[in-house]
Amino acid sequence: MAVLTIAAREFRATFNSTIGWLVLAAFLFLNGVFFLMWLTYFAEASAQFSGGAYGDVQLLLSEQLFAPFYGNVATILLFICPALSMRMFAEERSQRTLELLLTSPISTAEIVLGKFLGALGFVTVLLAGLLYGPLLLWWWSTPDIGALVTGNLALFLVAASTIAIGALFSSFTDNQITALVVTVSVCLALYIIGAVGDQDSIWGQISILSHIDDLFLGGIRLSDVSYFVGLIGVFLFATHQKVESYRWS
Amino acid sequence: MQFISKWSWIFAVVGAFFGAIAVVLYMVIGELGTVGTLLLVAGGSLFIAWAVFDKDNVQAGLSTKQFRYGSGSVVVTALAIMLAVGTLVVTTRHDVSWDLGRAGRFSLSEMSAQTAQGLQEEVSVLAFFPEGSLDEQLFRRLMESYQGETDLLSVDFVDPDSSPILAADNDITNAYGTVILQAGNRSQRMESEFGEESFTNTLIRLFSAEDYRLCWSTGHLEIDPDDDQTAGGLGFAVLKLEGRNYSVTKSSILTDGIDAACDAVIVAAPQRDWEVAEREALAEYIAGGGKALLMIEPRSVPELSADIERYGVILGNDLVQDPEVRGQAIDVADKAFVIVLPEEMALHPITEQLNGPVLLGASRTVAAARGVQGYVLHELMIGSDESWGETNFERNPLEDPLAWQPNLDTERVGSVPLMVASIIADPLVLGTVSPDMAGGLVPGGAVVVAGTADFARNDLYVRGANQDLFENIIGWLVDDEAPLAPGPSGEGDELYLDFVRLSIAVLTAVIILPGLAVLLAMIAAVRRRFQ
Repeated sequence: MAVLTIAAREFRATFNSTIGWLVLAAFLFLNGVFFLMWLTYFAEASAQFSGGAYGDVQLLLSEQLFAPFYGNVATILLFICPALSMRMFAEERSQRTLELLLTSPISTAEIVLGKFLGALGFVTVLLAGLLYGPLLLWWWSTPDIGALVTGNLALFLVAASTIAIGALFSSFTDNQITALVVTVSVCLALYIIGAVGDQDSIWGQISILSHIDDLFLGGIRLSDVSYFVGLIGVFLFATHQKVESYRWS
Repeated sequence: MQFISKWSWIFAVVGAFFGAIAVVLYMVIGELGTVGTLLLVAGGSLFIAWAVFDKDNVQAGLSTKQFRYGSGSVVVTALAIMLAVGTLVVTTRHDVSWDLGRAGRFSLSEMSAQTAQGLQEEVSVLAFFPEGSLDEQLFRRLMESYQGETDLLSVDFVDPDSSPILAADNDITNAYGTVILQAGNRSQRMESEFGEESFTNTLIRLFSAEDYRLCWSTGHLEIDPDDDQTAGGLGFAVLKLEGRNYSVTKSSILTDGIDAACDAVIVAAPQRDWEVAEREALAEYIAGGGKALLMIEPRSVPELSADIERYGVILGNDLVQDPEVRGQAIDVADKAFVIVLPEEMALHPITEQLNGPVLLGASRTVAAARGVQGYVLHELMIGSDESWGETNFERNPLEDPLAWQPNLDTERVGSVPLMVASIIADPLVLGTVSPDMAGGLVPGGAVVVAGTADFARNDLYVRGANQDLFENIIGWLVDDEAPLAPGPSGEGDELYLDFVRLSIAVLTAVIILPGLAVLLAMIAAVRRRFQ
């Protein structure tokens, strides 16, 4: 229960601030531009090939529009999520309210989970703001609902992972900018590290990108899900250990 | 000694640095090697040196509360990481996938799934790949998909370098990979392509009761079945057939006659006319229950074209024109390039499963004879409502496009027939059967006559439903029990974006929704100011 109370408090705090809404506006605008870009590209290609009527080119909204668009969204989340997570513990430490929180009858796990879910709730609102895309396309064409569901699941998992990573680095410092820079750097490394080897190499297994490709196209692999669950679990657990250390340091 | 103790932390830093390099080397190369081992030993030695020289500080540090709690924390976090990595390794090796997409990118095609589900006895697959290679990983995933459809498929992966004796026993010479399928005494090998289509074809071939032999007529400037390099060759089509249980052999009917062992004769766009003896040899072969695919180009081989009437098929001496110019969608603006849509195809085993258009090319009309007895005739496809068979080859549509109209009195106009399948129910209708053939007449001979070979050319073969059409014709002729080509899977999405729709998208995506968020930001700011 305490988890939900903390999550609701964090969620409300974000939307009570001007910054929260401005982040939402910037997120929607940027992704709106990308969406329009892919939409017009697909429409032109569709007109050129008559939707694959001649067989050699088979255009699918899920593959030629939403997959690259969601790729753009994931890249933007790479910067938005660390900006959300940077204040989680760094702000509490700089304002010296963490001690207050730790002396309250709430466990460290509840604090960490509550803050994580609060930030994740905000990101969920951001992602929900992009649902106009599938809805418009559902009105005008026949998008692949299954691929759209898995594509949004991929974005949700990427956001959750990035917030979990950000939570750990926020717990290490009282400087939000430091937390932001380190988190973005680590997430960026996790994105691009797959380029070092092929998808089945150790680098590909570490990389976030190689675990979202299939999801964007409608395929859910147990290994991809376990990657994200493991990533989120490890970073939240490490955050818990770090915050817990403030009790006895 | 004090000096060493004071600066001994440098040993720890350098030791950690060496250790990190060794780990990175291991991750990049896949093994430590001499350099990596030396670095690891040097790093460990430096760490021990630090602990020895700075013994007092290290002991004091180890006994602090922070260290005791902190080391415990590090250990449990390391355990959590190991648990996560272990889970990832296990799930990667025994991956399970669900395909929610309509395109079926992560599941087998209908034909492959049917083939796997139809297995009646156990098939063991011995896959020789270098361990960890990309081909091995992809083939492993493919096998997981097949094993999801049947319990009768077992797979063993073998690294030829690790098991050289087993590799030698199986004559493995390909360093990149070889797959051997075995069922009872039968076996088949895959040595180059390891994809889904290739595996399904090999599986079909493994259980096929017989191999089909196709005889390719030569000696009249026909299209070369071995030409898979030029646009006009038919090599792709032949390679695809050979990938299944077909063999293609060239033969000259004039010198060798037609071997009764031929399951079908293919005549691919001859440019030099046939001799009487050759035409009679073909007729005798068909009368004996033989099968043939005759692809006769416009304005070629007039005597053979006329002779084909004995099979109940009339070849027009014309060139089909289509004012709809459907080829524009594939950058072919030629009115004589015929494209046939699925709704213009007959409900016949050859064409009924085709769910894409056929890019036929430049064709002559091919019609079933009317009011004739002894045949079962099917016109397989027709042109558009506006198509016609132009008989004046001297006219040039580029010179006078407006006058490019059919001659309603002399030319076949509207929905012109383009391909015919003929079954010879009564071999006597073929007429010129020699007396020694009288006892060998077998009803059921068949020919498929097309007014062009363009649709099977290398440059058009993989487009539209052309490959399916060609393979279905051959499969129907030889009575192949293997599933016929299923046609392209799924359909593409179409999106038409007019001004209104584009305006709605622009307004929603970059004005209304972001604007609403900015408005709410302003409201939040005002509320905070007045709170």
